[in-house]
Amino acid sequence: MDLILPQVVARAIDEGIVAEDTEALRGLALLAATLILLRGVTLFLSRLGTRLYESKIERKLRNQIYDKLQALPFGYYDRVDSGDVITVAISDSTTVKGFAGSALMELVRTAGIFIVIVIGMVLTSVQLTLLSLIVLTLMIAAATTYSRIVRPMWLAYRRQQARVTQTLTENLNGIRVVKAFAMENREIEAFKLEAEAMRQRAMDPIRLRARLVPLLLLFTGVGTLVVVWAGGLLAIDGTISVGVLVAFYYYFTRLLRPSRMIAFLVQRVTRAAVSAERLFGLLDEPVSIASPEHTDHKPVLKGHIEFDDIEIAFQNRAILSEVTATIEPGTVVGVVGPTGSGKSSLLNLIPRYYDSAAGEIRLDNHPIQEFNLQELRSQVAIVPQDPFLFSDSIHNNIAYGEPSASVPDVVAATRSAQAYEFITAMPEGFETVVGERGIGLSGGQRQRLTIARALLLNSPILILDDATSSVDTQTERKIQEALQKRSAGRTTFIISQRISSVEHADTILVIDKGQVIDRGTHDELLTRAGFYRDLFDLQASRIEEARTDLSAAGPAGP
Amino acid sequence: MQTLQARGTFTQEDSDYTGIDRRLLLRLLSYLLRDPKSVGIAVLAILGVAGFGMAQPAIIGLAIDEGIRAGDPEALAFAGIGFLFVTVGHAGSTAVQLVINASLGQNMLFRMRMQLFRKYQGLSLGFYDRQITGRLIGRMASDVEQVGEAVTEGAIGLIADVALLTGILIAMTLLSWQLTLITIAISPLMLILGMVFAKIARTAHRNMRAMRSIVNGVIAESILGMRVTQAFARENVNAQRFDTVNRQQARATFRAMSVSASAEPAVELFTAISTGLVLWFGGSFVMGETTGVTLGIVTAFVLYIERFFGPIQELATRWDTMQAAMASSERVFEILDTDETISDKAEAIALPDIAGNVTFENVGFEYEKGRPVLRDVSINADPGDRIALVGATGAGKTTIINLLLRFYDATAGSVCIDGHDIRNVTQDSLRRQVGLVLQEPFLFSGSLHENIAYGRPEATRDEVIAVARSVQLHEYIQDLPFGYDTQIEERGGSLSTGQRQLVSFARALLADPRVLVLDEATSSVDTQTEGVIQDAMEALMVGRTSFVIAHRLSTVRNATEVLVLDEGEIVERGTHHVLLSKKGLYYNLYKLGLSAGGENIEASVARGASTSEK
Ligand SMILES: Nc1ncnc2c1ncn2[C@@H]1O[C@H](COP(=O)(O)OP(=O)(O)OP(=O)(O)O)[C@@H](O)[C@H]1O
Ligand SMILES: Nc1ncnc2c1ncn2[C@@H]1O[C@H](COP(=O)(O)OP(=O)(O)OP(=O)(O)O)[C@@H](O)[C@H]1O
Ligand SMILES: [Mg+2]
Repeated sequence: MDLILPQVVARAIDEGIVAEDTEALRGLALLAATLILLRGVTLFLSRLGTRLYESKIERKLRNQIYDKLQALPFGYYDRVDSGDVITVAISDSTTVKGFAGSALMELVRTAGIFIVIVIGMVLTSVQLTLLSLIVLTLMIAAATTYSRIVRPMWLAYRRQQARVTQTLTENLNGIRVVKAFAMENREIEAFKLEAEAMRQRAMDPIRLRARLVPLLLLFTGVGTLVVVWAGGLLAIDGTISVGVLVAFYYYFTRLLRPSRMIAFLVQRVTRAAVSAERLFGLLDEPVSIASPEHTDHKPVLKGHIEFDDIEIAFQNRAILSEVTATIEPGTVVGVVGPTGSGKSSLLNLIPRYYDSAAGEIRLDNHPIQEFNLQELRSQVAIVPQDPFLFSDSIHNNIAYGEPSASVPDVVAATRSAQAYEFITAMPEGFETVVGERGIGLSGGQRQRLTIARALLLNSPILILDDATSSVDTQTERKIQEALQKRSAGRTTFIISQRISSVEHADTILVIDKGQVIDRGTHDELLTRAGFYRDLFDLQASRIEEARTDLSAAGPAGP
Repeated sequence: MQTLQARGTFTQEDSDYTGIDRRLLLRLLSYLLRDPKSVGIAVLAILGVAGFGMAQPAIIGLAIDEGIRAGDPEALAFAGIGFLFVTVGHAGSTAVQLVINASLGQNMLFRMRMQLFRKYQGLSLGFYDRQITGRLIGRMASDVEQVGEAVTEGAIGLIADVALLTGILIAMTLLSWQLTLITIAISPLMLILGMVFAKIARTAHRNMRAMRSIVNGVIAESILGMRVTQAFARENVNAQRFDTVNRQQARATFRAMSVSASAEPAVELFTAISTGLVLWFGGSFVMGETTGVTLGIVTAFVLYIERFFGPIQELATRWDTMQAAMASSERVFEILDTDETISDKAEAIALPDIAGNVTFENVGFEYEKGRPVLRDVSINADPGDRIALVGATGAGKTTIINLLLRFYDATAGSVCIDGHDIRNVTQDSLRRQVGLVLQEPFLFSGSLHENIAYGRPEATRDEVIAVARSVQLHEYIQDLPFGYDTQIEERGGSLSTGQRQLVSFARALLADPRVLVLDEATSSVDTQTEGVIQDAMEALMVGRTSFVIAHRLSTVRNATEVLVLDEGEIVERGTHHVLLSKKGLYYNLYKLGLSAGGENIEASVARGASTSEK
């Protein structure tokens, strides 16, 4: 279309106006109109196709990213800033789809137009084409140079953008601390630095573009000049007709738009390349903890666990080593040890949140790596130390691991976790939507919901990581009783700082100084001097103190 | 995400803006006008681009008529030089326009970002109870950006387009008013079409944006809750749900985009019709030779038309962009206009250095209307007192703390420090003198040193070490390869929970407050460490007022006064021993706590005693 239109205009001028032939003019004008109409329709269809393709790509890409995010291990999330991941998943994917769809299509289209126009020019006048070809080469050279220089600028911009998001994310997550320490102004200053840097980084590519676009304009302008001048001289000589000249000129103006487009597209392509780099960085992130290729379906676990000379290390720093233990199904294992000794890290190995640096863990005599991850994890219920809740209804939070759970089951789980009373006291009961991370609940209430969430699974292995630290002693005791009833037959791990929580355990592992320093039942451990005995003495002396206080207060009143 | 259903409750904020509100527009423009010099230059540049751009076809027309058809090489040369000038001018003003537009836009973005961030810092915690962080981030990340784009691409572009159109119209009229009439004859049709089109586009775009914000929200929330998702093997369910919203979004996007896709062809069509008309009538005019229309003029018109409908098409796109901006800016302004609820009074004074007298006078409080959490709470703490708050979970202990720091305002009664009602002093001066260790420790990414010194950034390394020692952290930190300069990740992910509590404890101590509040500050810390910290605290707290919440009743034994809370009311008060002798709720709590902690222990004590005797 871009080829024919100027020809028609040229003929309209030469055969119609210059030759003063009304009939021919009329016919040609009609022809021109039809051609443009056709062009409109094809353009519309091609746009539509592009969009369809584009939205498909975007959807696929997003699904792919989402799957990847779900597959990446805990260690990945320890390492990265969530703001950065969010930026990649949200902004970069949009940019890439924009490239894959419109930009790519536009690029093809623009290139097509370019070629067609050049052909049209050659057909119209070879001399004039040669002249303008010089200009074209210059234009293309300018555009490619631009793309090379602008790339790192975009990368810098994207990084800065992620930093701004990250600063904000962290600030909002910690807003209570910020306010408690009256640090708002310092936070504002810190944010200002990042925002200022973002402004600078945004301007860099634009300044460069402000050089490219006028250059392209200048090239087309000079081209036009050359064409009209040289062409004009030729026309005066009579070598070419006025119509040919106008057609040629018309071609040239048509070139103006694609040339602007090129600058624009080069910019988008470069931007997309930067985003793609980040996106593929995410998609190519190795999944260090994954299900094996082939898993023969394992039967439901009995709960037999073996730790075989386990070593745990973070960033090559050994936290815990030489852990060997065999745990029979149905036993209750207490884990005690000072802060930071590695209790959580040890139990995090069972659902494979992390892998051990050395040694092997066997479940029901199969190495843990042989299990399908999801099957494994759905059989290990955990109450994490950090009680994370989603902003959703209480019911949905409790049924998180088993969305199809029946209402009576959910209620039973909340009863065991001593959460039923306070839930039903809320105006909307189980349908109450709790805020992000459980805002709107007290610390103890939050913990009890996470306990209920784990109990609902009825899994063969249960891990309670300091699950009742924020719960008052009375409630804690009720939870323990309920647990004892429920946990018959399942292997249970209890991490706690309180003797009272672990004293009933079948065996207690004492972790300190990077090793399991002792193990045994409560009574056995008390016979030996060491961490456990000290812990006990400390707590017992407090209890003794309390007992004295109580008896000093006299016998129980009415 | 199960959360999708719950999200229904928040969709209200997706209620997008329809049409262009003049007040909103003015407010947006006011951001630009703060930069009058740049705006002036931008306008000049726009006029330059329009003027020079317009002159080009006229010169070509001239060249054809005076130069080529008249066979006059000199006139041709003259026109050529003129053209060169115009082209340089065009390129130059385009460059200026690009840079100025961008810097106007970026300045505006910067201002808006800062404003939004300042607002976030100013809003009370009550606001945050009701918000999803992902959405607040979205306001900053996508809405602000969209507004900036709309103002530069939309508003400034709009002005540029209008200038260009006006210029072209003038130029065309000067050349031939007859042909001008013919050219614009179909404009009304185009306008009507454009309006219909805009209406369809608006709905489609609103749907698209609503879906996008849902998808983005799901992504952000999924990332934040990823550990729980994996722990509960929910990946498949979540992936399916995500696919559903993702599909919906793709569909909405496609719909909106196909509407936009029809804009350009429509413009092409109009260009075609006009070109045809001009050629036809223009041709006749040239042949008729009564109107003074020459071949050059017809050529110029064909070229003008090419430039005329382009901006008109842009108008449609810009309208679109503006519309998106309206919706986005409304969301941003909504936050900027949110009442801060808790703000410093105009006549608020800075709280002078306090001695540490804290009083609550008949304080009542409710988070949500109609659900009182605290009733008639009165407390009087003198400098140096240690007040213990005990009670079942959910009794309202943390709430009292929230009021003391003025995270929320009491709905009845008053809270005073050294006789100053805390509502009459600046929040900054209040919170600087009250230290808080939170139930759930939050750490920032940065070095350990920075985290401990958060409340007093100027603290020296020695001071940091001293306070780390007192909370039993020094040995651990010293053993780390980078010691106090060890970088910790977001939320302190690489520390154990107990260690995080200790850091947050150290942070409060270093700030050296006169009033210290400990909300289960050591719930996850081992007993031994806890004991050592308590001893250290005894020394540190001399002369300071402290509030302590703890479920382990042993920690409240030494309190000056124990307040027993039950369902938001203080039901008993007094020292530990006095309360025990009252044999009321505290006595029972204590006894139960004791038996929970020690039915076996009692036996063990006996046994332990006998074993150690052996
Ligand atoms: N993701 C991680 N990256 C690096 N170091 C880690 C990581 N997680 C834990 N650590 C370190 O490993 C050690 C053991 O941590 P862990 O959380 O297992 O302790 P814990 O015994 O559960 O302590 P607490 O009783 O305080 O919860 C700590 O020193 C901690 O700093
Ligand atoms: N932001 C909030 N919005 C609405 N209700 C809230 C909010 N925070 C707490 N509540 C409710 O107020 C009551 C008191 O909560 P508070 O956190 O003061 O309890 P607490 O005594 O500190 O409990 P815990 O010992 O478990 O921490 C609870 O019923 C809780 O659900
Ligand atoms: Mg732990």
